[in-house]
Amino acid sequence: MASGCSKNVESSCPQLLNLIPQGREWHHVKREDERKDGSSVEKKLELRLGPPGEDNSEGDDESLLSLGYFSSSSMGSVLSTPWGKNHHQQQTKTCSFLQFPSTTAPPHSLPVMAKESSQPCCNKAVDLQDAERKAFNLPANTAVPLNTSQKRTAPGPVVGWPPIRSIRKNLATSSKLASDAPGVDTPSEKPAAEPNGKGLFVKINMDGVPIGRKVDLKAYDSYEKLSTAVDELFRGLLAAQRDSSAGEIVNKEDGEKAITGVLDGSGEYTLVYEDNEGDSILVGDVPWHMFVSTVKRLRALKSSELSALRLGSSKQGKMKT
Amino acid sequence: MVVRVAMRDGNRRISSEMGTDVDIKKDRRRHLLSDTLSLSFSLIRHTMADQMSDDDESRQSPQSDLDFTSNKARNCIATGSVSGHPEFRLPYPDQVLENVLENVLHFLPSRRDRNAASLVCKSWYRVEALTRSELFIGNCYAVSPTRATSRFPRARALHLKGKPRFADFNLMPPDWGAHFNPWLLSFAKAFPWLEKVYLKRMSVTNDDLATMAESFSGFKDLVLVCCDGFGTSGLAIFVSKCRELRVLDLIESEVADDETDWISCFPECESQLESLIFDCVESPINFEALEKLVARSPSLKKLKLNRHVSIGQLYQLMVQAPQVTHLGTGSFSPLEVDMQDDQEPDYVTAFADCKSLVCLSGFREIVPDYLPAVYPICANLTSLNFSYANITAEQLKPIISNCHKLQVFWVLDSIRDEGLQAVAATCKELRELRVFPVDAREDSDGLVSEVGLQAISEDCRKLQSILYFCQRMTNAAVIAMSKNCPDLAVFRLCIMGRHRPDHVTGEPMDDGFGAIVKNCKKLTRLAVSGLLTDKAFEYIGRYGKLVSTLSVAFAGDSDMGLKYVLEGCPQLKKLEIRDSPFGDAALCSGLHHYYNMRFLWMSSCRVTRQGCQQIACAMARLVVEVIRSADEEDMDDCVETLYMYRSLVGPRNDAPKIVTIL
Repeated sequence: MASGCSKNVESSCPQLLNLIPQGREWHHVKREDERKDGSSVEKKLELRLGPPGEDNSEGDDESLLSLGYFSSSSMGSVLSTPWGKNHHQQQTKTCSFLQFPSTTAPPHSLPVMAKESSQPCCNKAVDLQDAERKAFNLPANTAVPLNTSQKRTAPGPVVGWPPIRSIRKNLATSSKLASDAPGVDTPSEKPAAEPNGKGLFVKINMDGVPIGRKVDLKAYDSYEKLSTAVDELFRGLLAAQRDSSAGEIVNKEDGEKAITGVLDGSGEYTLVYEDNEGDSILVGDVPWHMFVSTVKRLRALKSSELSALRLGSSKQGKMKT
Repeated sequence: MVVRVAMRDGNRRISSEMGTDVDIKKDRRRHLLSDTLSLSFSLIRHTMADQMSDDDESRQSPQSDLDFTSNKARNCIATGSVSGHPEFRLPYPDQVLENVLENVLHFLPSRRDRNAASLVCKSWYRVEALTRSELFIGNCYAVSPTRATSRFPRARALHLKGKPRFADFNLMPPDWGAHFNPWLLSFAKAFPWLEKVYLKRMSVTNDDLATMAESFSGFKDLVLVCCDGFGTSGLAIFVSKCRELRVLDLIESEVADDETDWISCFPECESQLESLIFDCVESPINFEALEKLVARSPSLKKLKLNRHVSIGQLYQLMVQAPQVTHLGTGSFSPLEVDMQDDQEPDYVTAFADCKSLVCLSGFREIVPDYLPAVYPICANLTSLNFSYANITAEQLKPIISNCHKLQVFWVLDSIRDEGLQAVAATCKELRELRVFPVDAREDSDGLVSEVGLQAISEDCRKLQSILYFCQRMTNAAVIAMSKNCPDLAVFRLCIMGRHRPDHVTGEPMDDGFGAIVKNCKKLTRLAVSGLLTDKAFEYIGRYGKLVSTLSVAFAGDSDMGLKYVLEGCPQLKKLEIRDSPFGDAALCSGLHHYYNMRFLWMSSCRVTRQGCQQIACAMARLVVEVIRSADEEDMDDCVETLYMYRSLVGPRNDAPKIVTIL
């Protein structure tokens, strides 16, 4: 790729253009050390798809036929390969871009073709797919209607390049976005407590920590012990969340501080629970055994936001933690 | 009875001092004898080993190389007198030696050592063949199954490789070959006690799976890597019949969805399963059956789930199997039902309970919100594979900052240079790093660059293996890595845009790769990319004395490039080249070396049919396969693909029409 161009990778790549092969731009693209013999040949093979005389040397890139596939580098190199304009150049896949104006993505791909990359490349050359390549290429060749009898190597996506197994492609879309999935603590009407002989497990969430824990209330006999448990359960998680949001890697010991004052409102977080009638109640108000018999789930809310909540109301809706 | 055991190599006694005197009668404990001999032997091994290649097939028929020595000159010379017991007969020297050798050779699992041992003399050859239990065959077409079975009559394990690596990238016709069937049939007859089969890049059919299950009653381990040709129906039959199955690992293989519930086909009784890896299986599985299977597999240590297992289901499995050491987490995202149910499980505790967990992977459709669940085990992890998880640096940091013991890390470039810096800051023990592209196209935005590479090189000094996909790179960063990471054995850099130079200087990437081959004295595997002239290959030929695998694409200027490599790299075994201007002259310059190689691949280069024909004629034991571009207008006769390999068998008869064997 032209070194000049390489420096401008991020910005627009002016030498490259779209389809309308007015010829000369090609030369800008070539690297200094490139073999140049291809150019004259290529000239002969230009396709005229647009009105002659149109000047595209500015490379107004957001061409209607944005392709997003071809890097300037590949274009430069490919077009000037010295060896054989005949076959066995890159087994370039498709000249879909020449199906003016619809541009279909080559099949094995990768999302969104119309990625108006900063290097919209264009390709004037036409590549004839030979049948054999089709045979063990990836499917659907959007073969070009316009062609020359010569097999030009288009800087199209090349078979097997980059060398990634197909199972690893399309990863940009395979991972779900966090925003797609509703929060993990979507409340429901179902009881949270699961009394069984062995323990009373109640779900507990903390503001700012996406992942919930479970606590066995039978293991404790007082609010103080519960409060300690909350500290144990969330201290590490909270510290990690803080680290990540601060953008630093903080040593675990340094970064963690105890979570205290959850019962009296003096700390950063306050414990609240939802009872069997759906009411939200501050933890600590009723005797322990009564608490245990009615609690359905627990939350540790930011103390500063407590006043914003309507405690004691039934059918507490989505309390996002 | 005192026996003198000396070592020799062919005609020469290596050294009489290297023998030892052993009183067999007194020291009847065989292990003492073995110890002595294995000690002596290990000295020999070091001198001989480096002359040997690592494949059986490399040698001509061994008999012709060996010296048949007379009784007198034999290794084991009995001296001294015999006790007066009337029934005692002096055992002939060979028998003693062979018995002893058998014991000694059991200590030698390494095939290189065994190959060396087998060359010592006929006797050793024989004993080694009898005691070799694992057969490694690097190219299934290099040797015939019957030859393998007849030489090694007691084999219990088979390790077989088929297609060359470029087949993974659609550069080979789909029906090219590498069929497991002929091997299976041969082995089924010869080794009904076969326990283990490991196949890489082979074609295995459903029938083959059924045959395997029927033929080998005690079958234990099946590992299929990058294989294809079979489906869930074959798996169903296989698992239902192999009652002693311990390992079923399907790795990066293509498994057809025959809509068969294969998980339910495991026998109902308690299972010996130690490893069940099926993350590459694209079809849904019966979760209930899987849960029951895991519950009745107390030895299960490795479990890698496919993307159809949700995080809620993962939880249920983890609770059943907290003893796992290797866990593939499936999708790592919730199903609708997981989220609505207020009984959402305590994932953190589930992970915390897996105290032996050292290897974590999966995350096929990750919802990053759940990542904190893995915090409890980060400190124990030695291997972490995020290469299917499109996560950001911010999402990675809380995890990686705790992974102090991490040695193997696979990740997507979505974490960017910043993410790599975070890795470097913590993972001082890192041995292997692979950075894959989220968007594998030539002109995608480069998310990682030389910045990430530099950061890694500065802090991960123990790095041995790296695979790095990027869009831009500098020589400086590559040179830095060559100096900072002296243990590098595998360096694979893929600059995705073809022919890209150093993006800062505009220079070709020659100097960077040159530094790698020069400074990394342990380098055995190299993959190059970017703009490269013949100079890069000159460096490789001059300095890359240990390079055994070389991968070249879109590089070089002329035949000289390939010549440098073929003439300069004595350890070269696997050479794969695509789209580079190397022609017949270069091809011919390697004639002296091709028998030492496993294979040579050249596609979209400048070799012609005549050139290939010349090679084929000159070298009888080379199979030269060409695939021509099926172009009617074909004016010259360049071949599209040349794939050639040494072979004791000669041309195969199962090649598709598109392939011509010269």
